[in-house]
Amino acid sequence: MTMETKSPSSTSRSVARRSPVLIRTRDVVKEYRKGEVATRALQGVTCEIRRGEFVAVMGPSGSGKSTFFNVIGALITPSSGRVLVDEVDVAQLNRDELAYIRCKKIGYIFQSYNLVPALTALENVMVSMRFAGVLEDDARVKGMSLLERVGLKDRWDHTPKQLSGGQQQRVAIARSLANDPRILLCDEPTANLDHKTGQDIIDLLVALNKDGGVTIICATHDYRMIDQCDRIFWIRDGLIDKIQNRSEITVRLAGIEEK
Amino acid sequence: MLEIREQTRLPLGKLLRICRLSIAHRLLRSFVTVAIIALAIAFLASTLTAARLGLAARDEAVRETRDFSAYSRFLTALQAWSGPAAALDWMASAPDDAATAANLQEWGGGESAGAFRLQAAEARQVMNWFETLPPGSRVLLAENRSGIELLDWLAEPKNRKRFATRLAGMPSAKLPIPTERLNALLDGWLGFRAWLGEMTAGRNRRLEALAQNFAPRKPEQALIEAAASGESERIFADVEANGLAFSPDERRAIAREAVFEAQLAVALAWTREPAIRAGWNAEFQEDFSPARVLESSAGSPQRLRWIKERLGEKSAGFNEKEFSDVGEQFQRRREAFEAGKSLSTRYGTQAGIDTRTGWLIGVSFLVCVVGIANAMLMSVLERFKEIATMKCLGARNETIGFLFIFESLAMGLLGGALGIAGAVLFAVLPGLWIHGDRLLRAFPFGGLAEVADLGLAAGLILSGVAAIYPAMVASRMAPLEAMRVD
Repeated sequence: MTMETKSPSSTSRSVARRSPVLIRTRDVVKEYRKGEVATRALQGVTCEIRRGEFVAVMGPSGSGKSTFFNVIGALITPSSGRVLVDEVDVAQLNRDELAYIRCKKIGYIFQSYNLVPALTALENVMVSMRFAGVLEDDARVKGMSLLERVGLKDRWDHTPKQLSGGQQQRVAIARSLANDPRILLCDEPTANLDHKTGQDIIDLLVALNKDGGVTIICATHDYRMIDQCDRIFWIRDGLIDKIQNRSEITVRLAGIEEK
Repeated sequence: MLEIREQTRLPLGKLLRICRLSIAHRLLRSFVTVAIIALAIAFLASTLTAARLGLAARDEAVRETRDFSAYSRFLTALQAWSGPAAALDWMASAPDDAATAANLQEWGGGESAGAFRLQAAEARQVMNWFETLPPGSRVLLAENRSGIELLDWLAEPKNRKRFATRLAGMPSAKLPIPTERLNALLDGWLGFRAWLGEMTAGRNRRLEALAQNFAPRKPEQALIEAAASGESERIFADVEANGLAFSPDERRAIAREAVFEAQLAVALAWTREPAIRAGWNAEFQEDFSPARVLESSAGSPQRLRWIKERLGEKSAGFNEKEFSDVGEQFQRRREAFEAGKSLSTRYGTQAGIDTRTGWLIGVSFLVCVVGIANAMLMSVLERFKEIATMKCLGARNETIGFLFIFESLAMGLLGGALGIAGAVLFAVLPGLWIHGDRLLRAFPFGGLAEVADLGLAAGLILSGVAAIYPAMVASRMAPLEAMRVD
């Protein structure tokens, strides 16, 4: 697989361009203190992500990619600067309000699926709805419909142990969608999966983005995923090095070729 | 601007289900935790249960000997007129009721009955202590006086000093009451003693009047005969006229007991026959004692036959069945009496938990709390990803904390129940073995239910306390931990 930068002339997806801004960061700084030493993981990041966009976040390890990702996901609060998620400044919220944002506005998809091992697929999907105060029966109906959407309707009573990695990730996606979030935050969703299953997950995410209008922010190294995204954020040394539109690069997907 | 509402709580049923599944999911570790709680609770509950069973058996034993104790109290009352030592005994053991208090007050010339009783009890304690010392020690301490003589002698201050010096040189002899109490007793002793003598003399005069009815027999002999002939009421009327009250129930019990004593006296008289006394040891390889002969022959046809044969021509008046019945009853009474006494010493005062056991229970609870806390903490740290994920899904800190406290409480309840079941095994079975059918007759179901409640409550409290720190760790866990890849 290779990737080349194209000249920045081609057309970009106009849908995303015209829609309102969903996430806006301004001069976000995040410092980690360990004793006397302070490390600046982010040193003033400013960016905008619009509704319905599919954004890939890329960067080498230690670049601040994870920190950027976690800050816009309301998982950590920045040391300074503003992070507006759906016009709410995350940095100003207390922990219960943060819990509410995480519950209602953002869906999380993890590299290692993170299903609750003691619960069945359906119950895993229902947990976040219960946190949101949805009634048991409504949550059950919606949980089943979400499982149907990810193609696991007949496996609703399986525990995570009885599901394959790809199936677990699909349950996790169903769970992340439970409270109709505006944003899906995916952390290397295909890294633990084989080629074919990974492709299924990518197809599912793309379908959610295109048909459901869900904004997807995805930290990934998977070129197939990058191939599907609208914009790519390149993070380096705690700053956004560059932002490229999908049309500015060429992704070539190929197997190993003989010379 | 979006509106931020308070986060909903997870409903109780859901929490319980998650707890149950979490426990089942880590069955082995949960089992260890439950076992720790069960052991601690079993220790507590079995100690308490053993005490309750002991108390129930004691009460039953005391109930069995109620007739006898009324009778012996009556006899002591009669004997109170036979000398200062007996008067002290009577006063010290007098029942704690209004009638006796009035009597004591009358006799004590206005002193309060409680203080009076205490004084008598302490004097009796010192006397008993002195009289049970080895003869050599008695000689060395106070020239082989009797107990009451010792007190008379000690009333003199210079003798008291001498006695104290001698006592200090004899580490094996230890006063049964504190020195200052003894001094207080001795300071007032001469007055008390004079009064005792007076009372005894007065009572003796009254007794003489009473005994004229039955002369020349002893009062108890008179009672036994009167009871046997159905005339005991006359005795009680006399006794009451002399300042001692007994309830109708007690009177009936005393009369019953007196009849038995008469039968016993007859039976014992048979055992004292020279022919029996002489041949017993050779025949049965046992030391002779009248009580022993009576008890061991009860229900033994072989021994009864032997006694009858030995009695020879006298055997015409010997009724084997009566003898055997009296022997059986005597044995039962003695056993009940001894059981009541020994169980009173064992369980009488502190409901069966002495200081040492108390400490052991405390330490076992501490170990239990630390053990549960450790297991819960491991469970929390092991489940960091699950907890963080729930937080990403919008769980509040409190919800996560409750989840772990619930889990711990559920295990505490389970452990408590198992521990109580264990206590039944460890206390009730041996209790039935030790106390026998006496326990079955007076099984303390109410007391055991209390112990069970206490055990469950203790299990819940222990597991609840133990879960506080792990639950805090869990509730403070950052949602970011969910991103960690292991």
